[in-house]
Amino acid sequence: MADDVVPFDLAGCLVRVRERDQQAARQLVEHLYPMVIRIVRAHLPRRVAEEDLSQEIFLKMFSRLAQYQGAVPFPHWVSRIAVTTCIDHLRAQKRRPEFRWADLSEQETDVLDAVLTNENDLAANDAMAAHELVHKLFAQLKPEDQLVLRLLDLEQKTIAEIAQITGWNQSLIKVRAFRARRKLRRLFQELRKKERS
Amino acid sequence: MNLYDSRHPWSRLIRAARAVRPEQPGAAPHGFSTRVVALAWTKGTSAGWLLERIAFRAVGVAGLLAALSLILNYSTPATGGATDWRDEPVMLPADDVVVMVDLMD
Repeated sequence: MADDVVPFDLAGCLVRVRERDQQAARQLVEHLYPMVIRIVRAHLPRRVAEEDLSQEIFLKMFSRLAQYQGAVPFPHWVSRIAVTTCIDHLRAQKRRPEFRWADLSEQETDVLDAVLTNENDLAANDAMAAHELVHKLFAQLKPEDQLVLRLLDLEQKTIAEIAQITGWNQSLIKVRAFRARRKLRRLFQELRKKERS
Repeated sequence: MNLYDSRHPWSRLIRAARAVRPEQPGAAPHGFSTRVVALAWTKGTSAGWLLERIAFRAVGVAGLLAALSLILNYSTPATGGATDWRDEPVMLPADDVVVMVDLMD
């Protein structure tokens, strides 16, 4: 059929990139861009432009291409570069912003107040504020821990999928998730106390 | 209350947050792949060129040092050889007999 999409020949493309074929290299970037930008957008550190970060990831990919042995599928290998680059940028920020009621927007305050004081589900129009709040709470965690919890709770990925994306072993992921949840539980206790006072 | 109890604030917050679907990533912006590939190629080429230049300079410096060391090592014995050993004052050891005769005189 004429409208059949031809599957991208990744292996062939990689061979041509290794022979320094610029057109193949451009095709490779375009093929991997949606995956890389999805990771970048999910873990984008403050004050870093998504295009700059994705450019850095692709430059690392090209400079390390000789090290790729094919032990894992190529997109997984690139996703690990993307994850590591995002974590490096998050680490570079050093100081995590303190979570304060005063810094929240009016809608975010209402949403936080609602989840802390009653047991009802949030209204559909509170979704965006809840999403923003979740990101602010994630920012209180260590970069590796927030990455695990974001993938686990927000994107609902399995431990095995997270292991593929990050290259970390499953026990380490479970430890990081446990640590992140403990920190979040403590944070919610503090928020409750502040809310009551 | 457990963090994953459906009534826990975190559970309700994250459930609501999941309703926001992330923007579907489209194709790369126009010119993005060209810029990235150009940068990657330039970076690779410049690194190779730099290494090549350093390597050539290193060979030059090594050659110069070898030549200098040869000149210095050959010139030292040459200048040393021009002095006749007989011209140098000879320190004779003090002979006990000579000393005794001198004392008797």
